[in-house]
Amino acid sequence: MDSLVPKDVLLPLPAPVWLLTALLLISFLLHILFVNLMVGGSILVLWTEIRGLRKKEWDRVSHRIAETVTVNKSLAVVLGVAPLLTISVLYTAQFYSSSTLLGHAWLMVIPLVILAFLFAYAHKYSWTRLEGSKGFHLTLGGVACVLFLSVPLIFLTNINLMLYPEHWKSVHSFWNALWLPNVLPRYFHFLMATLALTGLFFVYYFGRKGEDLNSGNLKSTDVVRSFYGIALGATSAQVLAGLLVFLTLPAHVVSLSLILLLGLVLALVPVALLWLWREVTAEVPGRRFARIVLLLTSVVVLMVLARHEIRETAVAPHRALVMAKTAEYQRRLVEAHDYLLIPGGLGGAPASPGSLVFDRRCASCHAFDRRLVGPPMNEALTPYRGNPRDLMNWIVRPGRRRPEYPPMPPQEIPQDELQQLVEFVLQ
Amino acid sequence: MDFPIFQADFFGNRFLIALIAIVHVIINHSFAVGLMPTLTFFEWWAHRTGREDWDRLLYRILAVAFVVTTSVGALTGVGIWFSTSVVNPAAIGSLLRVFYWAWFSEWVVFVCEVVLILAYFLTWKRMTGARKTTHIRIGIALSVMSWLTMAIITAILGFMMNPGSWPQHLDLLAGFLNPAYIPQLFFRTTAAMAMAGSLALALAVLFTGRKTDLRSESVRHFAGWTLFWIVPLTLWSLVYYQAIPAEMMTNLPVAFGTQAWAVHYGLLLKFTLAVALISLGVNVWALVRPRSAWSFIWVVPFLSICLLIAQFERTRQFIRKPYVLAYYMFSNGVRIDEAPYLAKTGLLANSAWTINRTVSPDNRTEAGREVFLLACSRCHTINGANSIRTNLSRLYPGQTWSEEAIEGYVKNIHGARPYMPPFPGTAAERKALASYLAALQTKSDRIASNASIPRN
Repeated sequence: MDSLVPKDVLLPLPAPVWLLTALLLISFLLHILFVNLMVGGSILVLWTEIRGLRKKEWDRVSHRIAETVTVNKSLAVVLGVAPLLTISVLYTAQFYSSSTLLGHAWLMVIPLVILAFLFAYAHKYSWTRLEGSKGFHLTLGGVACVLFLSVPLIFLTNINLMLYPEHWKSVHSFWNALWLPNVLPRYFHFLMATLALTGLFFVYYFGRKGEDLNSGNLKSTDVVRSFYGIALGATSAQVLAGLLVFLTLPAHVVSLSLILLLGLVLALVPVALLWLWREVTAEVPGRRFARIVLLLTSVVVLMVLARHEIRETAVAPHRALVMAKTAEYQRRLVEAHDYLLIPGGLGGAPASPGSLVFDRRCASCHAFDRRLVGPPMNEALTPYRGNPRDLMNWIVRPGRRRPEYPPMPPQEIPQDELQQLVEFVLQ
Repeated sequence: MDFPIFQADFFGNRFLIALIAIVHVIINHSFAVGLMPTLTFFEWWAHRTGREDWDRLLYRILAVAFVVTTSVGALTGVGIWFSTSVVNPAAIGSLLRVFYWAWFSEWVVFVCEVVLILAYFLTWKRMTGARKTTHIRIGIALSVMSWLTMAIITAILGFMMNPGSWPQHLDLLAGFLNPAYIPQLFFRTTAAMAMAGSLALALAVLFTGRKTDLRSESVRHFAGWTLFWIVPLTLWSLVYYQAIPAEMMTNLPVAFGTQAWAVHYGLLLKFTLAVALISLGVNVWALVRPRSAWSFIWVVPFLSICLLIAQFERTRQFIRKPYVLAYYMFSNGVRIDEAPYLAKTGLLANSAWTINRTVSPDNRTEAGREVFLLACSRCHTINGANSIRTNLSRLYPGQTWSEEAIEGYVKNIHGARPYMPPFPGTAAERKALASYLAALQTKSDRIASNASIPRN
């Protein structure tokens, strides 16, 4: 364990911890909202397009969903930058260590997201052109969806690994880290949250006043009811997934405040489920929409807080070790500098200025009596005895005389130093 | 040093960062910062003169820019964060602590930019007639936001090359207003406009029929726009050139090409100049005889200006060596003020991710390997890009690599090669490194990305 306590970056935090934490949580909430809409949209666009194969009207719904995905995905990316910056500052030692350990997989996020976006664009903009070849068109959407689903898995693996420095030694690849307890349950939980939130979003989107689907015998209320159904199913599944996440948590990260937060969530969720059920079975759904959104927003806020609580409890002991080690290192650095500043601290006899220039500029490649990179000085200098001018010219603009040696690079060297150097070597 | 070592064994870490960054700069400058004001200007002109064919053409150019910027453009921007944090966490971690609020403000502007480009593109066909003026205003706001993001980032880039008095005072404003800032900003602004003109020229050819009036008119207009910006661009690049710290200029011959090309610096310079002149020539030709060429010739200015800006970025990245953050931290993540301490107490002993904490007769080569990982591997690979084996065989052609010679070379490496940082460890560690490197002559080694994990 001792060797895996890194030192922190030796610069102060740019703001108080509470402010950075607040910025992290708020910007993450915004980011994850649009990530949910992007990933959920890319799933539901497929589901509705497949339904549209049998009932044409659903195809129009699907096209409308595709239009939201390409907008939401741009916001998801841009809103992700602030939490990325803030987590890098607040958890430098932990977050950068796990990112580096997962290096290749972590970097793959970039091409995966680019491809996902390009496929999503291709899927959206070829809607009418590929009317005749639905199979191919569905494949485009399917590839986009799979790509969108792969990225959160990499993020979760990293954000999970950073919490557990005790595992850093045993992680040799992304796949190891993926199988750490808690990652897959968290992923499942994320997927259900995504579907629930996206379902509610489309309840709003297709239930707006004046929203005309223009689609014959598919009524707007039927569409709304379908999406309510998805929200209901996914929210129920989330209770199960949440339980699984909780059971796979390592004991040392469970704190009293976490249990209180989760207890609050468990009290609110049944109410949300009941209201969702009423909406699904209602003649005209939509009456309870506002209060459902309000309730579930509180649940999401509580979950973000719970997530933060887990992170803080997990990281706290490691952070204390990192801080102590950093402070100790800084103290020793200052000590060493003070020593250097004492006159005569280094000792030794003063060297001639020419020999210092030689050590600095030439000694890497030339020794007195043996070959290094370049030829030995006693032999190479023979033609220049009593001819300092030619030697100076050679140093500044060398040619190539010996095919068995690499060419000497020209030296950028001030005139006075050059003078001292040549005096020294010709002695 | 205190983070696990990531190694792109074949690609090289530097190339990884450079590739992502250069693609991002090209897209950012030509498709966003330059193109948005260019399109807005021509949209206004087309609206005033009632040219609906121009309006349609501009929309199609914008559609391409929209797809490219919101996918490859945005993600390569994020990719710079990802790649730098994996390759050199200490450097980007430090930079982030200094510039957190600058980047945070940039983020706010960036969010506005994305919202505005969504609005600008998605409402183009809907906001017609009386609402066209509002649409043009969205374009103006978008142009301002795109420029602002670049203005903030350029401050940080300028800082990495020349931090002004920041290392003495740790004062953000001093870092922000570093001497290279204004020249670099105006250089980039004018370059972006010229790039956008060339890009619009290339895309206009794609979207207009051969021999149509719209073709020759758009070719002439966009070439004229490019030429108009090339004049201030030339002036600002000269000013910028003057603002580069003198000691960095000595790196220029190697930075411009590679070590092997340094001797042909003059030739490379002429080649670059030739590319610039060809591009200029094509633009002038477009003004005079817009009908008279094969279509593909109008792509030449954009390709050449991309080549030039890529070469500029490469050079800019290189000349700040041996520093990653000028006068504060060396390329290998060692801070200047800790280098003497490490030389006294040991690189291995002060790093978290090492198996061998000290050098002993039994672990020399193994410890040397770890020293290589810590001190050299941010820039060098074993067999891939900037391979240490190639470099060594160039230094000692046809000979057995001797530990002693390598050790002596490493000792003064910062004197022999001004772009190399000083060796940041003890004499024993230097000898261990030399033993590892000498062994590479006969036995290659592969450095996996998780090379640094203690296996105990």
